[in-house]
Amino acid sequence: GFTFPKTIEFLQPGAPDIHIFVEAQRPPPPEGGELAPMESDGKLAYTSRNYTLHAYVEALSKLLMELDGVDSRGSPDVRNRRRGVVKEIEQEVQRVEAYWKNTWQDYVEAQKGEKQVEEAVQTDDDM
Amino acid sequence: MQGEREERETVDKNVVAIGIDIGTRYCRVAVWQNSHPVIVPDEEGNRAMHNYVSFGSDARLIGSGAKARQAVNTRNTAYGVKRLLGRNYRDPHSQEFIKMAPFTLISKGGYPHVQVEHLGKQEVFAPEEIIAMQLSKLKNMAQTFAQSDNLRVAVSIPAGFSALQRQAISDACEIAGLPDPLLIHEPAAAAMYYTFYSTENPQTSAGEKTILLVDIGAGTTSATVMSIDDGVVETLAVASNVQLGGDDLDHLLVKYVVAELKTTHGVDIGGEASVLSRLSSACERAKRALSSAQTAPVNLEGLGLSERVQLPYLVIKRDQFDALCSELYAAISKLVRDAMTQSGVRKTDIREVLLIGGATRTPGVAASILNSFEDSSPTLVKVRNLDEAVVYGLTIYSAALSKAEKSAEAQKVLDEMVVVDVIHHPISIAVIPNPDSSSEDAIDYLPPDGASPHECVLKTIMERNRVSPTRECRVFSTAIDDQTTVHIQIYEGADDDPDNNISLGYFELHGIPKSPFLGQLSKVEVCVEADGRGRTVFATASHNSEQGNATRTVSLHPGKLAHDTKREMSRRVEMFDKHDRIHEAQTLRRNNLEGYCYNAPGSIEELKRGVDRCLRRLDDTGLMPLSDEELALQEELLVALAKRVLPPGYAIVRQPA
Repeated sequence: GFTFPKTIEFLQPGAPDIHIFVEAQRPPPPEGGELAPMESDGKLAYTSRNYTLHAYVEALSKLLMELDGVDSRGSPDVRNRRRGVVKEIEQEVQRVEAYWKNTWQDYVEAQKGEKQVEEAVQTDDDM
Repeated sequence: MQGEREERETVDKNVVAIGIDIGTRYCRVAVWQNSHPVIVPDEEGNRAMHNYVSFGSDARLIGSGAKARQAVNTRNTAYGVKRLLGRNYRDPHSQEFIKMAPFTLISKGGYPHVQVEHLGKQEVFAPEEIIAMQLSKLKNMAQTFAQSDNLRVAVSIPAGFSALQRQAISDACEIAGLPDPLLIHEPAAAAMYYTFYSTENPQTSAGEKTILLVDIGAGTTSATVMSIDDGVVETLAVASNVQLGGDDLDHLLVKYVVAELKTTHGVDIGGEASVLSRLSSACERAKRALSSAQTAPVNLEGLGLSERVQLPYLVIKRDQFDALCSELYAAISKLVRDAMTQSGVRKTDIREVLLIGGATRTPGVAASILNSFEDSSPTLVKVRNLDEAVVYGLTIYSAALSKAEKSAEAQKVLDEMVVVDVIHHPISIAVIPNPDSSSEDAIDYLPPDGASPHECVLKTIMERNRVSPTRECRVFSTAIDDQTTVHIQIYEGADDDPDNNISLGYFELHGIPKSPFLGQLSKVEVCVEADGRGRTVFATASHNSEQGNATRTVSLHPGKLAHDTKREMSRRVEMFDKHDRIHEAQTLRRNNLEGYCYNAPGSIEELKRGVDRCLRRLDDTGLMPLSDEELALQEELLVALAKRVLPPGYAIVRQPA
């Protein structure tokens, strides 16, 4: 099994030189579950911290390419099997994507909450 | 600490300050009441709770109950897991523990986990979870005792615990529902206790003095040199060994007894875990007896060996025991010497040696500490309750930093008290050494991203025994031209090979501009900051350039459990707690019913006699009128008897006429 990293490094939107560490708040989605594609403006950084994530996705896409090379020679059995495996791999890729996107989403929401708290503190000071 | 005190202006009566001391063998909890720390006893009245958690088919037992059940439930009783905190499975110290432990330990994700059968299912628990179960129980004990849910908690960490071990304790607290505890080193807590009570006594508090504090618990040992001046306690140096303690004395004695039985008496007791654990408690009892007597018997009766084995009567003498333990005594003396050298204090300046921890009761230990002082002979101070000094100190600490109610006197003492702690391990970062090491101000290089740790050596940024909280900055340069990223790796420890230290974390600083001068490398400043509670380390890296300066600050939490894992563990601990409470209520009800059934025949007999007596009385007085009071009295007598016949929890209610 793949061990999901606890901390993921993201690029600050609009300022690619600034990297942010984000700690995952949720466990990775369960295997085999259907996942809706999601919106996210977070970008993964290409650093050693994200190495395992990138390497895993890379390995999965390599598998996909290898599957493309499997010749069915018209056999429906091989075609179905190949389709099944491709679907499994695509699901796994989605699972990884959902994991880091959720992490970024949680972070963005937590940031919003924190900003509100900070503003509250400042108004207290003014009084 | 000063700053935090200023925040606390008001007193909140609902806040209860408590201290929890997690030892290798015992846990203790104390509550701040009437301006003094008070130990909370467990349900059996013990002032210390055994670090045993027993699983089984019905419910968990935690504390002395679990220890009592250990003999019959050996495989499902976990104890002493504190020794495994923050260590991976292959660590030689873990392996040693795993070999001795009579319960099953498995490797999960490279870390040792306890595997037990609970409620008919196989369960695997992290050491943090086992500690959390104990903490949860201690928390409940304190809540019931103080009648409050609003706790401010201070938790002890042994001197010399690594960042991973400290994080594990912190995680355990979070799992147990004690978020954000104050983590305080044991020597600092003990010093707090000592100072709090000695300032009350003007004779002992006068003037500045330097003391040596030796704390030997069941599993950890530390020697601390401190200077005390009017309530200001300053730690000068700490030397510690987290793998040495009273338990090791027991192990040596066990080994000796096993060998002695085999060679002299021809008895092989075998390697069965339950026999060894019983022998271990027998040896512990003998060790305790030797603290006050010259000889002590080792009780071999209840080991559960076969009846046919002829057991000899084994007696151990104190000097025999001292000879066995001479190596451990030497290790303790070495710690004392180490702490002395580190502090730079002369031996003659030490006026008092303060002993805390149960193992300092062993006379040989005290003697070996005094021996390392050669000519000068400092006074040996054994505080009255050397086992409880730490938990008292923690409670005082937690009261001082919280809004808990304090008397004016206590407030005054606490306001004057300052305990200055130090960092117990050096903090270093990995650099590529500057080849031009001859000149003094040669700047070491920071490796680019992706560099192997083997190309680097460690550069110590903070020496150990530095007063914390502390901050230190160093300037480094990039290693090669055109390097836009530096890779910063922070370690705890000072071994030259980075692999032999504990990695606190790593991060990169990006977008470093090229130096405008040809042949010159860009400069990067790295700052490391350790907070006063020995809990968090922050690292900041920044570079300056015309485009402005970029800074990146990261707080380092090595070995922290993932959020969702912690939540899951927390949920599990709560679930088991709930199950245990239900089980406890059921057991109580069952016992009550059983007691009732046994007593019922007697009560019914008594009721019959009472009814007869009442009838006789009515017959005797058949011809004269009875007063209301007399009738009421007879009725009451019958009701009192009838009440005894009712099952527990039922009441007789009189309908208004």
